Amino acid sequence: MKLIETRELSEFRSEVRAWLEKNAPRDTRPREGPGMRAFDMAWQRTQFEGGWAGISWPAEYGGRGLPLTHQLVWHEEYSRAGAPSSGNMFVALSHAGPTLIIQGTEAQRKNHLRRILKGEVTWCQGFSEPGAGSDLGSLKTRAVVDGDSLIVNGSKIWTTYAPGSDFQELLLRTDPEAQKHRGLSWVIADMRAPGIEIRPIRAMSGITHFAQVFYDNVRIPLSNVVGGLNNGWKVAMTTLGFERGTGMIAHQIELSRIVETLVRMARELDAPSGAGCAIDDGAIAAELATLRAEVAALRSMSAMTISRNMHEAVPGAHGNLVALHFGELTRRVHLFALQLLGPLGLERHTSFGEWPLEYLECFKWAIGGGTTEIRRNTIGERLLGLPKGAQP
Amino acid sequence: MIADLLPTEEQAAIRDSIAGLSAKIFPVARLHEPAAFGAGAETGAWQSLAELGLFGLGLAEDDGGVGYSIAEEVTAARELGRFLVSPLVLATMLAVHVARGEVQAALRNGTQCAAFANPLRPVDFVAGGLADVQLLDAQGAKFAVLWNDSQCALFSIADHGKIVEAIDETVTLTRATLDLSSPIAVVSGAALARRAGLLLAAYLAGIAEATLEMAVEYAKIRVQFGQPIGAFQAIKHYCADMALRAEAAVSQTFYATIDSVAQGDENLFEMACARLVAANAAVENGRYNVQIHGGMGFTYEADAHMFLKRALLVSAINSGARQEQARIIASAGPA
Repeated sequence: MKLIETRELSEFRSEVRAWLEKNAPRDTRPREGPGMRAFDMAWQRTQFEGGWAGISWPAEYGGRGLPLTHQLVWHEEYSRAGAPSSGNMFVALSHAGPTLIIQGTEAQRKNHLRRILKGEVTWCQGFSEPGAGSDLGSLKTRAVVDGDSLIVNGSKIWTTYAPGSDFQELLLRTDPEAQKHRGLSWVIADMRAPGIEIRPIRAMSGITHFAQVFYDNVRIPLSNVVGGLNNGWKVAMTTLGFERGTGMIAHQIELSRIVETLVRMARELDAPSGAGCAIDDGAIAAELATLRAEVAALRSMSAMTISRNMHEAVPGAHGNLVALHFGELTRRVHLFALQLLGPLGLERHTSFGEWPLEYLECFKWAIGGGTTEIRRNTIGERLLGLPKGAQP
Repeated sequence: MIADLLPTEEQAAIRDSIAGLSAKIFPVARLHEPAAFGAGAETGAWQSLAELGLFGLGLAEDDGGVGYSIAEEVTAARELGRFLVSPLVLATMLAVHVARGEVQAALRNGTQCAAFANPLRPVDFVAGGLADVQLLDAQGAKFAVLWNDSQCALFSIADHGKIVEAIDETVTLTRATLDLSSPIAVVSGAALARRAGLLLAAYLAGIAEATLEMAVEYAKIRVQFGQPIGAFQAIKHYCADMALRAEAAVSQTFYATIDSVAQGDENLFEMACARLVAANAAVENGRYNVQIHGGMGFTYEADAHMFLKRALLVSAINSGARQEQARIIASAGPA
């Protein structure tokens, strides 16, 4: 345990802070639709032009080639500045890009990485299926080799930001004879290819940001397979490792900012008794203090994960601890916000913000990318070495 | 702040030497023998601890110490928690930073020790007067250390007071009175409150880790319904939650430690978060460790209850969840 905030890093921090202060978008990010996608891409473009895209990505593909520590400083300052989430750029920046850097061919990297950093393209994920959610290994969407192409048939679901996406990281069954996890391939799909149909799905919050995607004899060149044919499970675990490791840091730091917002709100709102401010209420103060401590610990767990990643190239199962804590904690924080607001917590739009929507939306962190139950299984089996049970 | 929270080479060496010594002379099973109660085993091995440099770890070399920082003391405290080493050791590690001259040298070289004084109500050093305190494992100690957010003081104790039966019977608890107007040494400010809080948080984090490991080991070997109970999701998920709490406790304690080194000020926010999170982790993991051990866990014969009791005791030393929450909410928040 030691401080590594070197002078160089502090200077980098000041530089980042100054740039973000000047350039972070001040307009409200649209909640859905083409306007939202255009907003996210424009903001990415601005970052690229400012020289801030892909801080830890190799310089030859448009990144800065800086160590993870700089990436972390960037995330800290990004959150501090209240800059918008990467949104439509998330899968490209936090899944596809890092996966291509490690597993992609030279041609794949050349073709995609720079375009991602420039905000020219957006990506979506295609792992889950209607019959393969938590049991991802049982996915059935088939791809058959035909000459120098794969022919894809089947369906993917929970594909966030599918409408408008240019590419998809697609996990396909390429060997129907092989054992569950063996016969899969991780493939780059062009979302504009003939035979792809997108049907939007409305989430419980009322917002439509994900979809079911159907594939009817979709032809994908074999050169789009990443990490080798039938090696998709390993590649997918690399992808999810990034999400569970460093990919979510921005959101975790964001949660700390949300709790600080709640502290400020508790100083403005009336106490439930009507006498004094909400923060003078003992139970409210105690819960707020606990949330402050828990998000501080979440940030420290992120720092611990980053520390491990500084010593090993590919993230391990520890990232699941952070993701599990985040998934549970974000719901507690957002439910507390509604309780703090009292009757105002019932209104979707108030001067305090859109807290009911935020609460309903935050459930995705306990379900998407692996439910909290699957994460607990992974922690139990991979981190603690507990025996696998009879398949649930 | 950017920190590498993994142990440095030196910290790993400190961890290994404390753990190695503790496994040999402080195995948790010692606490089945009343002779080991009240720091019995520790006072017998006090010189070995002093020779390891434990009481001078964070003291400057000019003061005869090893010249490390709080980070190395925290590293050691975490291991002491894993073996339920007497709080007398932690208190002495703190007291050397209050004492001066001969007393400091005696504490450092292991000829004297200091015990925690746990006040029954908040103390006011300015107003002075008498303070009713509990002393922890003070039978062999000539000194007691007591602090609040504005001052840390060392007292000479002649009368150890009356023994009261403690929730953790392996620690000797006595009721005594300290005269606040006559400490033998004083350090003003919040720096030692922070140091004390970090040491206690690290000890509690160690308990959270040890109970996780015990529970996981048991879940791997205890067979019911034809398979190890750890294969059942109900048990596996308890263990995963224990791992999360232990990771939270260690990470936050280490982060707060580095924060205290980095920030010259006396901001107690990160330390208070560490104490709250680590106390919760130690007590909850202690509880789930008992639960996962089932009927055996409820017996006196098993080790599980010892960790739970020690977790409750140490999380209540000179603070508690309510006090830490109050401190956290009164603070300006994270930097």
